[in-house]
Amino acid sequence: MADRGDTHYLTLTLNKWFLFASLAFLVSSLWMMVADWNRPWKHYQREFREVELKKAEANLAALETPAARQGEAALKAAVEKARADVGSNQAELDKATAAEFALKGDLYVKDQEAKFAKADYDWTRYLVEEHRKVVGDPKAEQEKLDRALDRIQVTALAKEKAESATKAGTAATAALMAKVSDAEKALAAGTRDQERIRKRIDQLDPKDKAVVIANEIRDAPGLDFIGPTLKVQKVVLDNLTFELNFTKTKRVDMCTTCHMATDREGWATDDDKEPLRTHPRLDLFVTAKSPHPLKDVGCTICHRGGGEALDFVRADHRPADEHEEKRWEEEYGWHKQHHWDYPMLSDAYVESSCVQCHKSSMELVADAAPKVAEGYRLFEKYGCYACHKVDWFPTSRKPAPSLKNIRAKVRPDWIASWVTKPKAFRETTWMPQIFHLENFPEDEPVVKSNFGQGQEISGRAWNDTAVAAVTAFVLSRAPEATMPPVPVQGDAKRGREVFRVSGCLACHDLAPHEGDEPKTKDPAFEKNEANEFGPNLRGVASKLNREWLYAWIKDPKSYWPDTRMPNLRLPDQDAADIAAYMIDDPDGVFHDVPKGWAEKASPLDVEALREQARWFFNKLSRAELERRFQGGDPDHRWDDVERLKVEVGEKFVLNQGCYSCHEIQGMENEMPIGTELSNWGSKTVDKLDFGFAGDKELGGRPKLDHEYREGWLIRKLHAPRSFDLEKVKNPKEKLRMPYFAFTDEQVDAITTFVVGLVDDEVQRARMNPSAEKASMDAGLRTIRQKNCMACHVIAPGEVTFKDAKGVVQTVPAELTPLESDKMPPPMESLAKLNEWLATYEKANDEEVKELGMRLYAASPDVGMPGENVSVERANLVSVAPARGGTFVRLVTDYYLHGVQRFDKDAAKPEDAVSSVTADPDGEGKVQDVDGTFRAYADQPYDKVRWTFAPPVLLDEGGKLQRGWFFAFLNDPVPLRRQIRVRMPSFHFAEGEAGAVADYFAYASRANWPSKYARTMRLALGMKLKGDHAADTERDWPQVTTYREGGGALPIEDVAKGTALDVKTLRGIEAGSRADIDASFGKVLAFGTKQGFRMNGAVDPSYEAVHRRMPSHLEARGKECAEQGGPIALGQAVGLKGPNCYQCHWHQGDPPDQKDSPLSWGPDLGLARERLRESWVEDWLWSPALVYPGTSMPANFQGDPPQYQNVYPGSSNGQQIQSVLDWLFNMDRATPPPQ
Amino acid sequence: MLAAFDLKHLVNLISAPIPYTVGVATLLAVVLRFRKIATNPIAFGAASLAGIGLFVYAFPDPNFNKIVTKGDNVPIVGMMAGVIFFTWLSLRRAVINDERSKKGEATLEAELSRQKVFVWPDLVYTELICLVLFTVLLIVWSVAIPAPLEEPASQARTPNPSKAPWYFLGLQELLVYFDPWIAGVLLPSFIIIGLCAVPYLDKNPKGNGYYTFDERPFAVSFFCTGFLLLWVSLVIMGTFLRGPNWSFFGPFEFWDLHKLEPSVNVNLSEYFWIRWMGKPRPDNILLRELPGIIGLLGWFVVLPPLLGKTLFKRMAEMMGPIRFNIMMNLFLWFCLVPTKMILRWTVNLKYIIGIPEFFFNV
Repeated sequence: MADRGDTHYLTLTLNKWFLFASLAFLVSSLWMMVADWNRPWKHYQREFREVELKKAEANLAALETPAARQGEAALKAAVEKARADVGSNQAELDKATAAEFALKGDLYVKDQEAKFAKADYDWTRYLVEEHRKVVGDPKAEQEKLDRALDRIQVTALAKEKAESATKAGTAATAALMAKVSDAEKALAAGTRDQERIRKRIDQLDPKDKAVVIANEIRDAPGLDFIGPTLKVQKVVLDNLTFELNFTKTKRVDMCTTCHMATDREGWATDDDKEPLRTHPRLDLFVTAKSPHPLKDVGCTICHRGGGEALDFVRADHRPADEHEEKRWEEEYGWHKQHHWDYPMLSDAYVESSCVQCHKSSMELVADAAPKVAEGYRLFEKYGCYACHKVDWFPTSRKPAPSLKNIRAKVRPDWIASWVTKPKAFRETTWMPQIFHLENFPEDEPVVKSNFGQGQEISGRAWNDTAVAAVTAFVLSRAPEATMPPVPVQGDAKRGREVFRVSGCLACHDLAPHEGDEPKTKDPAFEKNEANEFGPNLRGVASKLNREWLYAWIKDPKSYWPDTRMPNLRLPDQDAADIAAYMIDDPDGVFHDVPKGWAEKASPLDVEALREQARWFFNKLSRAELERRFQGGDPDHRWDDVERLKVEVGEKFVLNQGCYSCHEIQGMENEMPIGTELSNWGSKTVDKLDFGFAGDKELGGRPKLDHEYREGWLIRKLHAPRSFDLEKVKNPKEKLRMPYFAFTDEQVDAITTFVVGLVDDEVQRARMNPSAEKASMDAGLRTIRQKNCMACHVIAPGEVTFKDAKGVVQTVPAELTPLESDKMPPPMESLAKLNEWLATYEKANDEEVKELGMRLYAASPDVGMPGENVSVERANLVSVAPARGGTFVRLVTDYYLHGVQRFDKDAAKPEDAVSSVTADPDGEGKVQDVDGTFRAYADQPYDKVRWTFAPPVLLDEGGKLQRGWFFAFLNDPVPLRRQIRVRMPSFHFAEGEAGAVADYFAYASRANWPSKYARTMRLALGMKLKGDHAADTERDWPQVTTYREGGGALPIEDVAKGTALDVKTLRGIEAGSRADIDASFGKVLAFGTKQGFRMNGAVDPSYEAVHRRMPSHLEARGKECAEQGGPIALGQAVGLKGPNCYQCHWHQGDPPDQKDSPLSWGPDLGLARERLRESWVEDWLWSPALVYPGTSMPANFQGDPPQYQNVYPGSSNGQQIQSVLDWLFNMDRATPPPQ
Repeated sequence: MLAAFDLKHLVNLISAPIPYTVGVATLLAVVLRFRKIATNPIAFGAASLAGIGLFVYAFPDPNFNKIVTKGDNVPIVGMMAGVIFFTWLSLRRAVINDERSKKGEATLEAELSRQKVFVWPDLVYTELICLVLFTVLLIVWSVAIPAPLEEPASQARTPNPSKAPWYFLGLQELLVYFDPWIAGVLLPSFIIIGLCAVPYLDKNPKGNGYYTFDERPFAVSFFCTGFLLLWVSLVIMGTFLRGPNWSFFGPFEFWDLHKLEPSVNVNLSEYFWIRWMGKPRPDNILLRELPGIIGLLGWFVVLPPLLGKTLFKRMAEMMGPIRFNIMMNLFLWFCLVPTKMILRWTVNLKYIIGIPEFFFNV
């Protein structure tokens, strides 16, 4: 041992160092442990617990009303009392309890003996079998086995006896305790809600100190890996994978570790902040009964971001705006997770994610995801898909007119001016501007010609020349053609009427040009969603000739096979009249072009043209180019400017991809020029060229964030070529996307859609829609693409108001016309309504305090369908327009008012605006189909609307037989002959017409449960009032007898009867799919028990017409043999009763009221092929319930029943049945003597 | 502001490969030449302070900050300081020893080795303390700077820049100048073989167990050039100055994905046949590459005896022909690296021998 003093280092110093090192080690280890333990999500979970406790306490306080406390105390007292009562008989109870205890002991022993016996038998059997296998004697050891079996029987018997004895003993005790247990049950039932909350409070905030300490230990640093109370929450998604390049893993989302309240209702007050907030759409997401339950779809499939991250920054949260970004940077040290390719989508674009699964149901999700659906529609309308391939996009139609015969349509100079700037001619066109854009600055040199040796060519000269060349080329590919002359002389005045009433304005508008004020109040001057489907026709005659226009109206598809414009099957005269009206233009509309529009050839700079040739033909040698310029190549005589123009123009058309949208002779097979977008949303951001302009603000738009793709796309859509700015590029390299002049909203919508086009791991979640969904989606798409909803209402408008009790009600309804105006007030929005009312009040000098509306569906707390309800204007909350049918108003307005015509040459200003029709006498009469002019100005709105406007398609699937509907769509036949609006022939593509028919059938079926629930409550309520005469044949509808009672069965009563909560019931009544799927069965059972019956749901495939079957006719024949059989009887009731032929056409014959088209009804001969029996039955009972406002009278509601002379002793129901027999067998009826 | 911009711009400019490498080489030469001044504690302290000052000045710059605070770059910043300090320490002791030798005194290490110490506590106890302190350092490091994760690996989408582990960045830099089989296989093998061979090649006992420069000028300079210039400085260059697409970026320069460094590289055979002889290259591969083959043969066959007769005459005599030739061959491989780099920078030389037909490119 060396002497301590000899050491090189002092041991004491080393000890001090060691102490220091050890302390540092301890501290750093603790730090490590705490750092690992102290995770942000635990703070959120603690906070969640606190807030939940507070909420639970508040809920409990709300439940513990004085009355509830009293009730609880009473129940408790009852329990005490019952106990005391039993106590008085304590001796007996003790005895019974002791006996039960002894019996239970005995049972225990017997039970165990039986188990042993069984085990012994199994073991013996095994040994015996083994023995036999070895010895080979099948009888060996048999006695042993028998003994074991005997013991099983003996013990089993003993156990059975002990069981029954114990049961009796227990029953005896229970009988003595019956009062107590009943009282306890009553207490539990009476305080169920409170107890539930109390239990939860006790979990959240345990009063037991031991539990508190145990919880603290469980959550302590270093120990929290065993069984902590604060836990990471995760959803493991078996069907959704995450692509890790080399392998696919199950997607794991841990978002709910912090976002703990996401599936809780009631966490959406102003005090609730993220992450402790309810998901805003629990009806659609997260909850188990929603279509997207958390356990199946998780979070990141829609929101993206890092699902397995437990840290705010690492989850790659996305700020909504710069303000939030600043705040996050300060609070959380937030920054973009550069290495995470799936950044969270900001709320503004989260709808993008719908696309990945709903590719084949985009139309169906449109209501829930309006922004992305709008983007999808714009993508289609503006023809984005034509240049940018999207592999699943459901159309490949060329979105722009064919140019194959353009010479027949417009003049060359018009083409040049139009190509230069399409919006100069028509502001609303979806043709984009291709030339004169920002990457060819007008006054700056684009290129120095002739390989840098020639003159500088400005952007303007380059583009002007390009336009001239493109024009020359387009014309070169269209043959010279002269249109055949119009076969009949057109009449402009009549043309105006035909134009109005045939339906042209359903798809086209005549809105004034930007900056021009409409000089008259003509509704055709107002733009709306439907009439912007086709181009605005203002100024259109300035480019067209009469012959082309006539041919186009007669048959649009012969000029452009892909056009959306349908064939109206107009007679020659009508088409000629329309052409005359538009070309002669007495109203000064069709030659009204915007200020600044001038039809002129594009200036040509020959040097620029040659330079363009040099660029486009740069594969040729300079010598070859020069030879062509000199005219040395007989196939390419470029010394002839016209020929050079055509060749350069062709290259420009190829370069700019004009053929993607337009059909051009010889370019049918060219490939589109745009980038494929099928998976653009998955393309990593570093593949996008932000250029130099991206780092700057441009046109007031902020500079771009290089970490996110949305900004890039937004700028691309706003200024498609701005990424070229400040770059040195030759003219062939420059960007080519044209300028569409999208609005901010349009850009946002398209961006949302395109960002959703992903092809990464998330797309594997692709949903396969059911046949029903796929069919409905295709149907809706066709309905949109054919613009059916311009003419037809497919869902009524809605009015939301506060009723007398102050409850807010939303009902399907239509406002009815006010006293001094024929037309009903508009329902686009409350603001628009108020504006209209203000004008009305001023014009009529009256104050509107009340508005009338007609209900369109059974509204249990408001009234019957067809019922007129008045609402105080002050109580009106909001109005929403009907879906579709904007044209109805226009055509009705024409019948009532004629057209507001503006005569710019009028001598006196008061004559400038006049109301005119085609009436030669100038009395405002309108021509009918029979050629007679009749006045309708004094008729009520409803009458005109239901007679002359296109029909509503409410519950159309429940009304029409699918086969007939399908045939009708493909080849329409006149139904209501008085209508001059024409149902067009659309030339549906394969599957389209069927999809439309299917859509309506499926929609009717889908609406049925909610209709049933509403109707049932209304009907039962009225019955309960006791004010009806029972009609055993039918409970519903029985309008006249139920009406006086009023009111519906309160929803709380239905809730009690069905054991459902009120919210679910309201959900069913409102048509919520989730609620219907989960709970409609109970409603149906309840209704059946109450005796409520209603026609069944529509079966989309069910087409049999029972009334035509011999079995039915034979059975009915026996019942009414005296009256000559069912058909004859029905005919007699129909004709001698209300006389159907008075108004209805029949088998092609006109009705008795030949001269009054206003009261004509459809041909009854069509009913058997066209209508579903159940619908006709409803219709005959009460037309107003089916089509509120219809002119068809309720013929079979007499009380007592009418027509007893024709059908003695019959009820209303029997009369209807007999009429149905006749209607569906009309072809078999013997016609009545004339 | 303008001055600040200019300084940063200047730094960016001198960080380009040529000034950077030439600068580091010059600095090394100057330090070795003026080692007495350079190893003066005051001078070194002042230089260190200046360096720290520069670092502090540069730190707020967003581009600089981003690159030096990146999780996996922080230790390399520490390594730079460590390398500089230990180089200084060894050189300082070498200078002192050399002075003491001149005066006839024993070296510092000789004096120290006369002293005896105990295993306990002088060795084991201090080791234990160091071990604990180092563990503390590792814990603090791992908690304070979380492991830097990148995106999931993908064959189809490699990260840009794709960087080797930091200690291999010097080799990766060589990939710019050599084909992978040379930069990635041959040269590392020579490094390992060469280091293994050192005890057998170098039988000069001077410098054993003590620091010196004067007694071993070639050995120390050779080592310093190899380790500091061709290894450490290339690691630093690869870490801090190579960005997307392996383009060069100054420390204050934004890593722009689209930065281009276009250059047309020319083979020696093209220089010879096309430029100098004024005719197309012969079709025969061997004939075509003859200038390069002759050049390289000259480099490896002619140069060793030539140098042994001239520049390294004394060394050749001391080592004997076998040792000398092995040493010279390793030395010439070593010299080939900077030579090729200089040729690339100056005359855009692509390959000395370029036979892509057989993947044989030098």
